[in-house]
Amino acid sequence: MLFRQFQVEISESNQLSWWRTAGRKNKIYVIYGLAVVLAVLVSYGLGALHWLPHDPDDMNFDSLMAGPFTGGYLLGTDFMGRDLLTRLILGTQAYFLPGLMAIAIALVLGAVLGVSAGYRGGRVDTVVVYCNNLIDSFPRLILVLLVIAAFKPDIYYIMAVVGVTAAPLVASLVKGKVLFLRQKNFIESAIALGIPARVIIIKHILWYNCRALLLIQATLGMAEAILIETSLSYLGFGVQEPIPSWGNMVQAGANYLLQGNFWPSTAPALAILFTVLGFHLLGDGLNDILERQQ
Amino acid sequence: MTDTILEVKNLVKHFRQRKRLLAPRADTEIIPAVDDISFYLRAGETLGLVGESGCGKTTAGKTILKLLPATAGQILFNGEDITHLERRQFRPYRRHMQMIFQDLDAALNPKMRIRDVLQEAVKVHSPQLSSAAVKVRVGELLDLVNLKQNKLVQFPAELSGGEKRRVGIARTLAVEPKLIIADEPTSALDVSIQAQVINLMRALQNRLGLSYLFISHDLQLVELISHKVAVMYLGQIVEMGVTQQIARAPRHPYTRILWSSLVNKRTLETTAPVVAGNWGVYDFERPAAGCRFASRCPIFVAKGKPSACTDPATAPQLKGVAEGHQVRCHFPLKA
Repeated sequence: MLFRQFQVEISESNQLSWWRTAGRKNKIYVIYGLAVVLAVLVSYGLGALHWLPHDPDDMNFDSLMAGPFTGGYLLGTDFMGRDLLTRLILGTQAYFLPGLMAIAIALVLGAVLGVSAGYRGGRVDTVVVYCNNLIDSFPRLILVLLVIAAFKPDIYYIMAVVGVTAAPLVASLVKGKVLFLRQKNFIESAIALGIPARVIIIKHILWYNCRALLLIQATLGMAEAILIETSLSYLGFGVQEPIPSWGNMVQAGANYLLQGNFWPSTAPALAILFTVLGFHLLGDGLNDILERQQ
Repeated sequence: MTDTILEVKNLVKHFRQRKRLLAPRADTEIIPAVDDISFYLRAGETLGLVGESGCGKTTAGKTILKLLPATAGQILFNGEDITHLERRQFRPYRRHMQMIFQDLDAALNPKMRIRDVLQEAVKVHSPQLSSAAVKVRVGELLDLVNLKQNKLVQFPAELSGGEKRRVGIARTLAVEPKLIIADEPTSALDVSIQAQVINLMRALQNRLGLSYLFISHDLQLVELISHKVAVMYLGQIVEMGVTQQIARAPRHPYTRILWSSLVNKRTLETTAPVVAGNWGVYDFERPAAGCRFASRCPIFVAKGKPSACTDPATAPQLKGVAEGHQVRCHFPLKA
C-alpha cells in the first residue's frame, strides 16, 4: 500500500516540478510580475466596464493637485482637479490592446522568420541577420516618429512599428534555438517515424521547445510597448488629452514640478516604473526557471 | 516467411568535405562512408552488421531509411524500389521500417512526457484512432516492453538508460513496423540491461515476426541475436555469411582479428594464428587504393606485400567461398 501511495506522489509531483525546483529569488520575481499582470488586467477590465471611483473628466476646482488621501481622492487629483487613481486605471487602456498587438506581431513574425532562417538557412538567414542589424542601428523612436509623420499619431500604428521592429530579435533567438535543436537526434527520429516536417516545426520545435522563449519575449515586449507608448505620449505624439495615458499624465504634471507639486507627475511615473519592472522581472524569472531546464 | 523484406544493391553514400576552411566549393574531397554494399534480409531474420567505429555502419542504416540521401545504388523494400521516392511519397513506407537510434535520448523530445511521445507515435500513421483506442494501444506498448504505467507522466530526463531504451523501442513498435534497424541498441547500457534489451528484442521478433538489421560492434551480442552477419571495413562489406561460419570459421583476416579480440577468448584455435598487427591511428576518411585492409593486414605482410592487394585495378571483390558465405580477400584463410 505504501508503495502505491509513493507512486501516485511521484506522478503528481511532476505536474509543477519546474515551480518546485525554482530558486527563491526567481519565485519572488515571478510572483511580483504576475501580480503586476493581474493589476493591469483588472485595471483594463475596470476601465472597459467604467467601474471607476470617479468620472475621469470630472474637474473639481476646489481641490486642484490635492495630495493622496484628501477629500475622497485616494491618490489625490491633478492640475484640473481630476481624480488621479481613476485616470491611472483608465491609462492602461492606452497600451493594453495595442501592446498585445505589438507582441502578437513580434512573436508571429519572429517565429516565422526564425524558423525559416534556422531550418532552411541560406538566403532567409542572411536577410534576417541583415534586418536585425539594420533595426539595431536605427533609433526606434525616430522610426516611430517617421511613421506618425507619414500616417497619423495613432497608437495602433505606433505599436505595429514596435512589433515589426521587435520581430528580428525574436527571429534571431528562435533561429538560434532551431539551429541548436536541429542537431538533436530527436528531430531525425521524428522524421524517421514519418512525422511531416510542418508538424515537427510547429509541435516539436515551436510548441515544446520555444514556448518558454516566446513567453519570455512576450513579457519583455509588453514592457517595451509600455515604455514606447509613454515616451511618445510624454512627447505629445501618443494618446491625446483629455484621454488619459500614463505618459501624458507625467507630461501634464511635469509643468507643476517646479512649483513643488511633484505628485501629479510622480504618481503615473511610479505606475510606469512598477509595471515595467514587473514585466521585466517576470520575464527574467521565467527565463531562469524555464530555460534552465534545458 | 522466407520472402526478402529488404534488399540493398550496391549502395553508395559519399560525403563531401572541403579540403580547407574557406576552400572554394568545387575543391572538395569525397569521403566514402559507405562504398558499394549489397545484402538482403528475409522476413523474421536478423542480420548483424559489425565493424569498428567509423566504418559506416550507422551511415548505411540511415541511408537505407532515407534519413540520408543515397549517392548511388538501390534499396528495395518488399521488392519495391524506394531509393528515389520523394519525402512525401516515402512517408507511408516509414511505418514499415523503423530505427532504434544509438543515442538513448534520440527518440525523446526532452520537453515531452512519455505519454505524449507514445501517443504521437501511435497516431502518426493511424490518425483515425479515437483517443480511447490510442490509450489502449499505448498501454499495450508499455506491456510489450515491460514498462510500468506510472512512467507515462514522466519526462525523459527522469528515466534511467534502460527505461529510455525501452521507450525508444516502444515508440518504434507503435507504428507496427516489419523491419527495425537497430543502431547499437545496447550501447551506453550496462551489461545486465543489455541482456534485458536483447532478450526483449528476441521475444518481440518471435512474437511479431520482426526483421532486424542489428548494427553493433559488440560481437558477443551480434552472435547471440543474428542469423547472418556482415562485417564492414571502411565502408565495404569484407565478409558476409551465417553467424556460425563468421564466428567460428572466419575467412577474412579482419574478421578473425575482430573476433579474436573478444575479451573472453573462447578457444585457442580461433585466436592463435593471427595476432593483430600495428593498429595505429588510421585515416578512415581516405582509404587506401586496392584492398582497404592491406595496410593493417598480417597476411599482406606474410605474403611479402603482393601488388595484387595494393593495385586499384585488382582490388578484391566479394567472392563466394562456401554456401552463403562471401569474402572480400585475395588470400582467404582456410576454413
